[in-house]
Amino acid sequence: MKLNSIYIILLLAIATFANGQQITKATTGIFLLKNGEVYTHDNGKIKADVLMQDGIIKEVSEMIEHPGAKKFDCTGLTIYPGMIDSGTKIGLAEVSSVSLTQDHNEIGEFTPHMKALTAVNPSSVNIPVNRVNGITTALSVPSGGRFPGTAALINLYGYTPNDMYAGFSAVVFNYPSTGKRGSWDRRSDEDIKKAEEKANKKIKDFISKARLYTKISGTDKASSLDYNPQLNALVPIINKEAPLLVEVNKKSDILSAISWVNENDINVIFTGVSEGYLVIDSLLKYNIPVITGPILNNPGRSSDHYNIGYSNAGKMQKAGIKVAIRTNETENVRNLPYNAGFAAAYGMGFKEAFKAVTINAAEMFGIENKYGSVERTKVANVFVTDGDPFETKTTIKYLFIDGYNIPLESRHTYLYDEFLER
Amino acid sequence: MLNIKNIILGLLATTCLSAQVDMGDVLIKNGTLLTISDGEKEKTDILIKKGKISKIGKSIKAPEGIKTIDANGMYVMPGIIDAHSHIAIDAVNEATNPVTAEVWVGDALDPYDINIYRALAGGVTISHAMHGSANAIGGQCETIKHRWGVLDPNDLRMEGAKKTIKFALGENPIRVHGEGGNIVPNTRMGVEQVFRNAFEQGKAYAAEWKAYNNGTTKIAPEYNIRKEALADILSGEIMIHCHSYRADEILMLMNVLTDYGVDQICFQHVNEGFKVAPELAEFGAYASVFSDWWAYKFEVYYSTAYNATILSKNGVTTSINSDSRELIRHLYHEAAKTQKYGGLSDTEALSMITINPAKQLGIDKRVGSLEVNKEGDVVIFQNHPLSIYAIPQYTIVDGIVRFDINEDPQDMRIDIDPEEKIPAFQESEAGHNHDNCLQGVSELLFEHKH
Amino acid sequence: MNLKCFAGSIGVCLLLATHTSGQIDYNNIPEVTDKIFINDVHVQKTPTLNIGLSDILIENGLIVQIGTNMTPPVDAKIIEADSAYAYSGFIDAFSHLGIPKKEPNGKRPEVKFKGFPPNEVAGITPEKLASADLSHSEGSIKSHRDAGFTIAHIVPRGKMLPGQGSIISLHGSSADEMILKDQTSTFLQFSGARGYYPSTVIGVMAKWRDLYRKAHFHNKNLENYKLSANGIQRPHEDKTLNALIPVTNGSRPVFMTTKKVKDIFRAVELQKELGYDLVLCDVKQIGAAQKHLKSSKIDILLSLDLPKEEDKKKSKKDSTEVDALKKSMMERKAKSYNEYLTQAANLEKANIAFAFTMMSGKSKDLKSNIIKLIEHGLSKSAGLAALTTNPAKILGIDDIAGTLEAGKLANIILSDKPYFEKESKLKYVFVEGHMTEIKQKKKKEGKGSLKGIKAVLGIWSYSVDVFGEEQTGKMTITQNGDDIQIELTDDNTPNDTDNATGISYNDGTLSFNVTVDGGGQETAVDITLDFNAEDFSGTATIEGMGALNMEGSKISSPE
Repeated sequence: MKLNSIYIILLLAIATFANGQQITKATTGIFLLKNGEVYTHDNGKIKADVLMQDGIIKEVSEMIEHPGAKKFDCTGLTIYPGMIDSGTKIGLAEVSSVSLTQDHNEIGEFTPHMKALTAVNPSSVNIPVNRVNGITTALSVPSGGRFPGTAALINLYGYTPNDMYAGFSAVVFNYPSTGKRGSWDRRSDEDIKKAEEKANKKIKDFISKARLYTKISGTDKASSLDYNPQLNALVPIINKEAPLLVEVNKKSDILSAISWVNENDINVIFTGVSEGYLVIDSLLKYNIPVITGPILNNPGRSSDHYNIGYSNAGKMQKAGIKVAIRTNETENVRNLPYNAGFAAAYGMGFKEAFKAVTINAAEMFGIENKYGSVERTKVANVFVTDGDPFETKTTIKYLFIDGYNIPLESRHTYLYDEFLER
Repeated sequence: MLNIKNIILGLLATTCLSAQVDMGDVLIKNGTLLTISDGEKEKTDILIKKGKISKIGKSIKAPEGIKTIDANGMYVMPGIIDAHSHIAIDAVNEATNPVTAEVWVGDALDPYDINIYRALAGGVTISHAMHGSANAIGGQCETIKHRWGVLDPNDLRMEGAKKTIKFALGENPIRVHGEGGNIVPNTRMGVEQVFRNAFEQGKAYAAEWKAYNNGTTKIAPEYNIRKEALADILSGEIMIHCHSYRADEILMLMNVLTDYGVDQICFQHVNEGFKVAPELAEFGAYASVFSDWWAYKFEVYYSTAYNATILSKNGVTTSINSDSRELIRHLYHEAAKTQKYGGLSDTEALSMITINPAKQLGIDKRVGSLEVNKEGDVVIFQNHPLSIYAIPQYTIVDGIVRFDINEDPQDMRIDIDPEEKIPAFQESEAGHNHDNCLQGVSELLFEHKH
Repeated sequence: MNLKCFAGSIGVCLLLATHTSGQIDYNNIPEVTDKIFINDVHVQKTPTLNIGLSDILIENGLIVQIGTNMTPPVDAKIIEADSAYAYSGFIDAFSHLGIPKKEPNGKRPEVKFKGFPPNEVAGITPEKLASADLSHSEGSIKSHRDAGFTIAHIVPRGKMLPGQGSIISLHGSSADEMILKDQTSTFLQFSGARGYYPSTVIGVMAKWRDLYRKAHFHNKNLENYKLSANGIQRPHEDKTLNALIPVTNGSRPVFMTTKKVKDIFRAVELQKELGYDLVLCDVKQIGAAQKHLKSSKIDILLSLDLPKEEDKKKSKKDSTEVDALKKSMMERKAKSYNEYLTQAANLEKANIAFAFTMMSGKSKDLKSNIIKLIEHGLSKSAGLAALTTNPAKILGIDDIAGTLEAGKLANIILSDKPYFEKESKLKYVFVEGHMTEIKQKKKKEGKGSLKGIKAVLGIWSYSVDVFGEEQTGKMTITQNGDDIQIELTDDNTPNDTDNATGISYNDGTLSFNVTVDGGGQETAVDITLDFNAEDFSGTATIEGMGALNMEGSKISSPE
C-alpha cells in the first residue's frame, strides 16, 4: 500500500512538473559568437569567431560577419566544444530509489538487443540540470546482467530520442568480475572463482552461437534463420563493424578480458578499468581504448594508494593509451568537468584531460568528424565560459546543443530564483 | 543530568582525564594563510607549539629543533571539518527500534579504518562520526580527530566536543520501521509523534529522579539509559543533529523543539532547507548540506545545488558535509561548488568546511580558523583549495604531521591480519539510491520482506 | 547411521558408569580400590619447581602424599610410571565443553516489536546456568581430557548474556558429579541479536550499561525495602536483574569474549565505567591494548588458536595479483604474524599473569601451539603456569587445583618425556583420581603403497564407538568418472542408506559428511578416515557431541 501511494504521487508529480515547467524555450537559427577565443586541442586558445547555422558550425575564423545572425558577444570569453560524458544513465533513470522510474536494467542476462535509446526520456528533469554545466552529449548505458543492452550516445537536448541521438550506439558487455560486489559481499574466493567459470562458459556459448548466426546471416540461407534478437544484436560486433563496450575493472579481470578479446577477434572499448594503471603494457600492446571513471572514486582495495582513482587516467594516457573519462552518473553527470579536473590535477594536465571529455570520446565512437572540437562542419555543440571549464569558479555564459541556444536554466536555478529571497 | 551518574560513574571522570594524546610542534614558513577569521595573509608564518597555534606573523624564528615546513607558494588553511560522516566506526545503525537514544557510535570507534587516512589526505582533520538514520531518534555521535596512527580508539576522541545525537525524518525511518517493521512511524505524521512521545518520557523521567534525589520519594525510579539520554536532550546537554530533507518535516521538528524548550539543532542534508531558510534562521538552527546530491530518492527530487547559498544568504550557519567515505576525500572541492552554485566568496565557501561545521559541533572556540591559541589543525595545499587543481600536501593535527604527500607509501593500513591475502578488489557501485545513513540496515530490511 | 541409537546409548552409558547405584551390572567391571600409588615419577610441583623423582599417593580423589621412596599401601593400585613426568592437570578457564550446540531451526522468531524482543530472543539470559546445559557425555570433554585438561570453566552458548559459568571436573558420570563450583561468572559478549534489539555492538554496549545500572538500583531498592517495608512501594522481583546483582556488588566476575584488540579496548572501557571484575576471554590479538592489562580488576585468557603461518608455496599462485605490492605485503604479514606469536612472551615480560584457553582452536594442537609460543620467547614455566596455576587463580580454585601438592585434587598428567619436548606423549590423565590411559594413535603402515583413490574403493565394514556402545555397518565407496560416491548403511537399519557429501581424498585420508537422523532432527556428521590397505581408523564428529572413534576393515574390492 505504502509503495503504491509513493509511486502514484511520484508519477503525478513528474507529470505536473513536465507540464508546468517554466522553461525558456531553446531557439535555433544563425548564431555568431563574436570577439571570443576558440579553444583548440592542438594550439590552445586562438582568436576566432564562430558561425553556427542549421545545427552545424559553419565557420571558425577571425572577423566573421553575417548580417542575419544573432550575435553573442564573447569578449574575454572562450568557446569550447561541448563535453561528452562517455558513460552515464542519463535519461534512463529519474529517481534512483524508485524502481518504476528506472529504465536501464531489463530482466535477463543476455539482452544486448535492449536499446537504451528507446527508453531515453527527453523530459527527464536530469537533462537540463546536467547540460547547463557544459555537458552537451552523453552515452546512456543500460546496466545489469552480462549483456545488458545497447548504449546510445545522445545530445542533451531534443523533444524525442531520435532528435537526441548522436550517431553512436554499442553493445555493452559486463566482463565477469572476480572482485567483490561491495563491502557486504561475503563470497569466498572459491565461490567467486566458480561464478566466474560458470559465467565464462555461458559467454563462450553465446559468442559461438552469435558467430554461427552471423555466418549464416551473411549467406543466402539468411532467411532460414529464426527470429533471434539476442544474437542478431551481436552481428555488427562479430563482423567488427562496431566496438563492444567491455566493462572491466580489476587487474586480473582486465588481463583475462584482453585475452578473451584476442581469442574472439573483435573490436572493443574497455570501460571502468580502475586498475588499468597496473596493466598498461597489455592495454598498449593490443591498442585498447579506455573509458575510465568516475575519477572521484574510492580505491578498490584497502591497501591502495589514496589517489589511484585520481591518477589512473593520467597514468594510462601518459603511456599512450587513448583515454576518455566518464562519470558513470545519472543525476550528477554535471560533475564531468570536475572528474576531468581531478585527473588533470593528478598527472594528466588540462589539455589531455579535456580531450578525454571531448575529442577522444568522439574518436572512440567514430564520430570525430562531427563531435569533439570547435571546427567547421561539426555539430554545433559548444559552450562559452569566462574561464577554465574545469574550475568551479568559472561561469558558463552560453550553451549550444545541436545548434540550439540552450537557456542556462534547470530545476536547480528555478528553485534558486524562487527561494533566494522568499 | 542525574546525581546517580556521579555515584556510579565516579571512575569515569578520572579515566577520561587520564587520556593523553600526543601534541606536536611545527613551524610553517611563508605560506599564503587563509585564516577564515582574518582574511588572507601572504608570505606569513604560523608556529604551532604543543599542539596549539602559538604565533602567526612574518619571519617567525624557528625554535631550536622544531620541524619546519616551507610553504612558499602554497596555501595554508585550517584543518577541514566534516560535520557528517560515518568513517572510523564499526557500527552505524542500531536499526531495531524507532528510538535508540542510548546507543553511542563512540563505543565502536575504529582507529584502523583506512578511510581516516584517506580523509586526511584530503585535508580533513576532524569529522563527526554519526549514527545512521534508520531511527527517528538514532544514537549518539562522536566528534573525532583524525590522529591516524594512534592505536587506542580513545585517542581519536575530540574530548570536550559537544555531545550530539542523530535524529532522522522522512523516508529512512518510515522505510525501516513503518514499511519494514509495520510499526509507527509509517508516515511523517508518525515521526512527529515518536518525538513527542519520547520527549514526554524523558521529561517524566527527569521529574521522577528529581523527586527521588530531593527525598520526596523513597524508592529509586527504575533506571533507564534511554530515558537518561532523552532527558539530556531536553536539558540541552546533548545537541540534536537531524537527518532531514523535506521543508514540512523540518518545520515540524522546529515546532516540536519549541514546545519542549529545546533551542539548539543542526539539520543534516536538509535538501529542502532552502524553502524554509527564513524559519531556520529565526530558530537559530544550523544546516549541514551536500554540495550537489539530489534525485537519488524521492524526497530529494525537488532539490537545488544552490541550497547552501540560499541558506547562508538567509543567515543560516551552513556547512558542506560528506556523509561518504568518497566525498570526505575532497570536501575542499565540494565547498568550491558553492562558487559554481551561487557565487560565494572564497571565505564564505571555505567557512562551509571550517568554522561553520566547527560551530555546529560546538568546537568553534578551538578549531575552524587560523588564530593564536586555537588547536594546531592545519592543511597545506598546492594551489588554492577552491581550485580544481588543489592538491593537499600536508595535513597536521595537533601540531603533528599526519599526512605528508612526500612520505606516503602505497599501503597505509595499520592493522594487518596475519592470515590475510592481498586485500580484495571491490567493484564500485555506479550511482546510489540512498544516502549512506542507512548503512548496515539492508540486512534488516531484507529480512522484513520475507 | 541412526542418531537415535547414539542418544539411546548415552543413557546406557550413564547406567554403566554409575557403579554406586547398587544395581547388578555384569557388563562393567568395577574398580577395586580408590587408592592409587604412582611410583617413580618426576614431579613438577609448580610451574617453577621440579622436585625430581618421587612417588604420589592418591586417595578419594585427592593427593594425599608426595615424597621419595614412599611405601605403597597394600590396598593401593600401583602405577609404574617408569620415570615419567608428572604435572598438575591443565585447566581451561573458558570453554563450552559439555554444552551441546543448539541447532538453529532456521526460523526467525515472530516478535511484534523488534526493539523490545523477549529476553530469550534478545540473547539476554544472565539467569541461565551453564551447569543446566551440561551433558557429561558430550564428546569434546574426552578430547580435551586426552590433551591433558582436567578442569574447565564452562559458559553457556548464546548471544549477549548467555548466562552464568560453572567450573567442572572433566570426569563424572553425571553433570552434578562434575560440577566443582557453580555460578562462578557472568558471561558477556558483543554479540547482537541480529535484527532484534540489541542488534549491533553499539546496541549491546548501551544495553549492558542499562542492565548493569538497573541491577544496581534494583538491588538498592530491595535492600532498602528489607530494612523497612512499611509505607514503601514494593519493588518487583526481576530474574534478569537479580542474576546481575552479584556482578554489581563485586562478588562475581564478568567473562567477556574479546578476540581482537578493538574488543579489548571496548571491554575495558565498559569495565572502567562500571567497575566490575573483568576477565578478557579467547584473546587472539592484544596489540596496543596491553597497557590496560595491568589492572588488578582485569584478567586475560589468551587463545591458543594461533594464526596460520603463510604457506610460501601456495602464495605463489596469486601471482596474477598486484605484484608490486606483493613483497611488502608479505613482509607486513610476516611481521603481523610475529606480533601475534610474541604476545604471550610480551605479557610475561610485563609481569602480566595470563591463562591459555582452547575455546577456539583444536585441543589436539594444544602442545604444538604452546611450543610455537615458546619459540617466540615465552618461557616454559610461564607456559605451564598459563595452563595450571594462573587459571586456578583467575577462577578462584587455587586452593584445590593448579599444583601438585598434598590436599589438592588428584588432577595429574603423566608424560613420557618433559611435556614441552616435541616428541613427548601423554600416557595417563588423572581427574580427581580417575585414571584415563591415553591411547596413542597407531602409526600408519603401508601408506606409501596406496596409490590414489582406487585403493579405498570397495566395501568396508565399520564400527563407531558411541559412548561405549559399538555401532556397526557397511560403507561402500565407488567411483564414477571423477565423482566418488560413499554410501553408509547401519546394520540396525539395513534399508536406510546415507549418502556422503563434501567428499575429498588426499594421500590415504578420506573426508566426507553425512547427514543422519538424530531423533527427528537432521544432524551433520563430519567423518575423516585414514586408510591402510586393509583397514582404516578415524573419527566421526557430530556437532555438539564431539568426536567419536570410527574404524573398520575391507570386505571386498571392486571387480
